[in-house]
Amino acid sequence: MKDDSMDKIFSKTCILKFLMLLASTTAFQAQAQWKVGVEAGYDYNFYHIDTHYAYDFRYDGRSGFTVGVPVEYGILDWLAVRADLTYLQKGYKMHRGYNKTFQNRSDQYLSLPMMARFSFGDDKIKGFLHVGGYVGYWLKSHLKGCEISNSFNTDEVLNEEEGKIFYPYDKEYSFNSQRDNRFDAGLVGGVGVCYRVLPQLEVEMEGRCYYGLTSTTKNYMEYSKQPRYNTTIAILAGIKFCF
Amino acid sequence: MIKKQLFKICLLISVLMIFSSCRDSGDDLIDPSHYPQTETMTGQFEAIWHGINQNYVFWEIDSIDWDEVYTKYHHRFEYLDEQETVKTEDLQKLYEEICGGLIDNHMVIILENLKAGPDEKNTYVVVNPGKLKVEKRDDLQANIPINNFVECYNKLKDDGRIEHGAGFYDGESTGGLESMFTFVVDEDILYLKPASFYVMASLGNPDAYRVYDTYIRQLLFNDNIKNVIIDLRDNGGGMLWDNITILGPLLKEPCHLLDSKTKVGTGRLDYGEWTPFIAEPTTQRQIGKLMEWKDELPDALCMADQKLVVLVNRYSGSMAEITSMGAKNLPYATVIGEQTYGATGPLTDNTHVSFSGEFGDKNLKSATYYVKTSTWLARTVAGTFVEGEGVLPDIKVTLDSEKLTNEHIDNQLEYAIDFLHEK
Repeated sequence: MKDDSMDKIFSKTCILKFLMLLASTTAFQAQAQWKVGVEAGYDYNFYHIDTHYAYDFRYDGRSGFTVGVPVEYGILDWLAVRADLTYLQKGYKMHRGYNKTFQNRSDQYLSLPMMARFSFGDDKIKGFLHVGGYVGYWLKSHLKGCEISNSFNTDEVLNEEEGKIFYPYDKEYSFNSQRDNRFDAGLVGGVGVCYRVLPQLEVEMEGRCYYGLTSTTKNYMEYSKQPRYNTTIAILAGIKFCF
Repeated sequence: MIKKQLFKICLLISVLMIFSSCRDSGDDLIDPSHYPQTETMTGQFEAIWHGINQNYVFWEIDSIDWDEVYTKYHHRFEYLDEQETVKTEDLQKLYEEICGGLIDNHMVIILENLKAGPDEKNTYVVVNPGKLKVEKRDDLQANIPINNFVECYNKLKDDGRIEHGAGFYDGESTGGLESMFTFVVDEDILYLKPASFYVMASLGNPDAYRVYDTYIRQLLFNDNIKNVIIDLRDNGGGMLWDNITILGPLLKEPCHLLDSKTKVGTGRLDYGEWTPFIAEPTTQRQIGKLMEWKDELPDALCMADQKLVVLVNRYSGSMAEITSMGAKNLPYATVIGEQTYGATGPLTDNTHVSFSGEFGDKNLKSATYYVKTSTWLARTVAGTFVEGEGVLPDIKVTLDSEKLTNEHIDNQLEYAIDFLHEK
């Protein structure tokens, strides 16, 4: 009978050997030009909406997670360009002060930030700054909430109470092509620290901000424009392999 | 070297800050209920246009290009403002052109002609898009005057077909109910004709109480009653709560009347989610409580195995239509008559519910205009929109006006009686 734990140790050793081989083949190069990795982290989205006179509609941000695949190309020792294919969760939480209505919308985006990377520090530990722009696509959303209906509770009405019935819902969001703008673009920036574990292996931590410049709603009202924007901050941890 | 990098970083941050101002701040919106008072026709048009823009709930299904309306008509009002006087008749036509095509059949736009000449007797414009549409229907008939109905009622009485009759129609209108009749016809059919859905609100009126008390006692305690006819012809609707008095006692289980949704924002398409409008059966105990009867009744259904017919016509509007929409979903009910009015979106005068619906001043004092409009967009349980169209009856029977006037025979009612007796 084969020992599973031995298999795991064996495969781990293989991976380590492979990584060391990768490192040794290019260790003497002055600079690693291509870097590819994975990153993941927590994000929090701020939904910017002007509710105007509907003063008891209160919008709060909501948290989510993000994962991405960064690809980096070093031009100079301190300058690189980077693109991350990123899955991001955005959305909002809305509730009313007037009644029990609430709505939580979880939006899922696929984004492609294109950034310049400015690095500073020594060979082992480097601080970095990312600046650039991103384009994205609103993939889908999930809605959870509760809304007032026209149904009422007979006994409550007979007791001279309001008796209104609120219905909960938990469903996929239906896009309205006239209203919803699924194209997303904006500015992106981040700061972080990168640590070279091995000559060919880096780990990094980053705080990043996606600043949307496209409204989540289309400009479908000529004389009463009401754009809504997302600003998403993310805390990311990642690992990169240098080629 | 470091200085150079710092310079570049500062430059980039500056560029970012410039870009960050690229977000559009949007237009300022004013609550249509608090739009500033205006003395110009342009200002009045703007207030009405913006109010409908923000408070109307049918944008999802209304094909009117509302922005185009503003572009097209704004300069016409600027032109009118330059005139000494404007004929009310001309202003009426202009607003009918602007709002007459909106599909909300509950809608009424009332405004004062701010430039009426000294000789003008009528200085008010009233546009009712629903009425304009109904009047264009091919088979339009006038509504049935209540006196004609009373003559039919008397004929049935003279023929010995009626017992347990009660009614009022010439008393004071209390709580919005102008008339109500009930009787048992041909021994086993219980009939109720409320003029509106203000029965519950009118029970403080002795006439209304007496008629409803007679009706509901027959339903609950007369074992001969095998069928019920609810006559909602010429019934323009009223309170949703009247489900308790009209449809509720005739239900054996909860009845899904329609689905409705309203706005959750100030944008034209800022809709919330669909919610069901479900009528609960009114139990005998609840009826006893409503009528303040001394003896407490059991928590049992009012309806046994009776069949139900709902009579409707062109002037059955709002709750009368909503009730017929519900009845169409009941296996033991049949809707007979004509296509209804087409005002199915529920409404409330409490605009705070969703910052939608009516705005302006009914009395034309704090504002020179008033717009009544639905608070909810509604669709049938099957997902069909009937706003502006009306509910089609299960069996179409057109009123024979000549027979009604000359022979005092209500052919729609007679058809319903024969239908229930399977003749």
